[in-house]
Amino acid sequence: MNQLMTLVIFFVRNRTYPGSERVESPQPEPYLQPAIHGKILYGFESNWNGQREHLELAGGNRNFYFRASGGFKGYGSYTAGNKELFNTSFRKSYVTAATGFQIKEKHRFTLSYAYNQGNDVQFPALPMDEQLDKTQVASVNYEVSGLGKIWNSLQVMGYFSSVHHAMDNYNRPVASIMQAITIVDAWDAGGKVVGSYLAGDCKILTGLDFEHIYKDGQKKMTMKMIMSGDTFTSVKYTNVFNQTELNNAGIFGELQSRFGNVDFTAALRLDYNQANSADTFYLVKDDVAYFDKLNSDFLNLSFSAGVKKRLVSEFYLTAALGLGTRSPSILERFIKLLPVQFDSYDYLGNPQLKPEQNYQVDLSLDYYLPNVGSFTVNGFFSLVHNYILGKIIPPSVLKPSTQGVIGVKQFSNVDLVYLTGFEFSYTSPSQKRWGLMATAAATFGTNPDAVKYLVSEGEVVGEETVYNDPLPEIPPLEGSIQFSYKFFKKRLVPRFMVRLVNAQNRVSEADEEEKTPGFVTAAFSLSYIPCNYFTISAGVDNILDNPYYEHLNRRIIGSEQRLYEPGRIFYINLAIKF
Amino acid sequence: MNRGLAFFIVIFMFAGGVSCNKKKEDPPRIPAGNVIFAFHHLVDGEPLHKNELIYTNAAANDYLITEVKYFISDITFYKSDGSRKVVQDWKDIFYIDDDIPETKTIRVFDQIPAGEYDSISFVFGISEEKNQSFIYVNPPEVFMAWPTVLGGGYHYMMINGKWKDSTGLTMPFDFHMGIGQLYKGEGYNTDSIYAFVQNWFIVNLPGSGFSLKDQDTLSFQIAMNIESWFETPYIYDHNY
Repeated sequence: MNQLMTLVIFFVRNRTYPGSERVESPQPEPYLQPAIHGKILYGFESNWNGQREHLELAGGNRNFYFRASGGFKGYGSYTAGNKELFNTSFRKSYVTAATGFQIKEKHRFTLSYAYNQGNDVQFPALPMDEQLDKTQVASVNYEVSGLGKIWNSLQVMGYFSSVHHAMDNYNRPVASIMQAITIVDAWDAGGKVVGSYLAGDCKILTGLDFEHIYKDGQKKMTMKMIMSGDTFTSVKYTNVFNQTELNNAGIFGELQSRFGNVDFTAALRLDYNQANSADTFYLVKDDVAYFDKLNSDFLNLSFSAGVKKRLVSEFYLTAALGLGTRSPSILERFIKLLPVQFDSYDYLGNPQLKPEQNYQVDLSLDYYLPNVGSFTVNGFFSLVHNYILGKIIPPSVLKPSTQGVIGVKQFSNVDLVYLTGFEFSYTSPSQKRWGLMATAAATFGTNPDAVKYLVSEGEVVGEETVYNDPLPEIPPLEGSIQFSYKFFKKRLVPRFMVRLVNAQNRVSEADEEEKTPGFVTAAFSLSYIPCNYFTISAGVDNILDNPYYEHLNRRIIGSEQRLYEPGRIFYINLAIKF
Repeated sequence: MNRGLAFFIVIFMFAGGVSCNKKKEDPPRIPAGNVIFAFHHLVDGEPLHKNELIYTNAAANDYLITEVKYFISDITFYKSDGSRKVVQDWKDIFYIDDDIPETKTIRVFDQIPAGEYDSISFVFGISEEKNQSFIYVNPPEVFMAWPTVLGGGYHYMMINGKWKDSTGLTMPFDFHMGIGQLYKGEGYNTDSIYAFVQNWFIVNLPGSGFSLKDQDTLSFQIAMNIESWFETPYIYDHNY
């Protein structure tokens, strides 16, 4: 959950720190002998009439290889455990293609492309639906390994992605009052160069990376009014992003070394982050600047240091501490009036946000016994300076523009918050016929000085400070247990899964966050491999048809209605591989 | 601009309970109190009875009222020393709807500095600067929208009802107020609009001087005399 010792990647739950960009694209692998393989998959899920179809081809030889796939996923409305019907829809189609070349021994060159299109996606929790989403990702990657005695490896990677996203409320009852459509186009391009080399007993990893993000989008609101028998149409266009740009360039290095029976790792990262916008929106009231100076740039330092020591036998202690500095995202700086968080508020960006600085300590214990399994316990404490959190701004300053939301929050820096948490996991030995996995995790956040607005009969009538208020929208303690058994040389494997989620009673008083009850769900699956070419798996999720909702997805925005998760679902998946 | 004088009066005020929440300690607290406004809708001095054809206006039209809703904004307290306090720390525009009881009470968020005050005023409707289209997207305020082609923004007021016409038929009326239009030539074709008229006006509440002590809460009762809309300053006849 909270690892400081990876390559200058720092993250608190739901908050990713620099150096952690991920590009999802298919990666082909070389074949020692010329070959071509395929995979056909079909899946069906009851309740929401889910369909999954996937076709994949991969092949090549040692020097040239490829992978291509395509598919479709579609889901409809579902019935929750309380027998309530939720109107939802999800339809996604995708194609991917990738090819790789081994130019010469240990030199790999890969090109990949993925296209994903979503249509008519209905979000039950939001006051709007996704009319269209087109996402493209292309990447180019060059890797060389085993270069020599000093230089060990080199990677050069570049990527580009674009998203065209259209959300509207045309199929919602509120559209009879006002129709709204928001179209956003976004581009993300970047790359990195990473090299590793050996210096004596030390392994050093160093590199550069760069990312450029561009977002531009507009909301169109249309209202029809009938007055004295005449119909009048009013239209308003507003920018949700106005040619916003964010550039981040980083230089990083990591040192790995061993002193006796202690592994030592130290990492350092320096980022230059810059953002601007062509916004003409300007909001200053009573000498308070809410949205004015659009340009900002930061030089961020992040570092970590950690040790891993073998205590006894296969019992390891890992300790790390560090500082992770995260610049505000393009959304946190420039979004204008869209409900982009878990609560019922439109959000306004803040171009003058300062970076978050996360001072964190991690402690981890790992224990492995060949016949018993592996245990990991990890705990962390972090102190975040300039934590970015939504702060309500008065309606006399700005009113929401999304139907169903109750007000406007602006991303703001909170001077200091604390976060702490733990994670536990157990995995049984893989050579055993029986298998057991167990996990548990929780995070606790505290805001020492939170502002609460006092409401009387629907009116805000004052404010007060809540001391040591829990941070809002933190998921509760959660655990899971999975038991399986391998019959007939692993050809038949039944699995039984239980997910236990505690009630979330530690909620923000300042945000009037609602408590949510705990729940337990159980699932069962059976996978059968009659031959090497065919796999069939079937099962049932939420066996007991329990009505439950997740803390972070508990409410339909704009109402007090609970958003229950799907009830019992039977499913079957058929896969043919050759 | 003083049309409101005829139909808004301050009935009485009193010192109420003390608000005592734990407040932020910085900056040092300035002596201040709280203010509550309660709105009442009257016809001929009596509380409004909706949907009853029991009223007669100055033009001798028998009528009934089905809906009363309006905006007031920029409530201002004038101190004896010439300074003033405009209500705007949380909300500056207030929607009042006879069908929604909670809208008929305004609990002012702003802390009003303690002292002697001469008077209170407010804007009936919404001033030109603030009356922009699409500032309200949720009910009930969104139902007050005023078409952009007619000036945009929101109705200042809607009084809806019915009257018995000269033939004895009961007919509906929509007595609405918002931004006005000036038309070229004859008729009311929207293409011939060449200018807009801001019809919002300031209401100076008569006899509204008061004294506010630290941590006191004052409650003001304000009445709208609905029949006054049909006779001040001109007698309005629904038949014409």
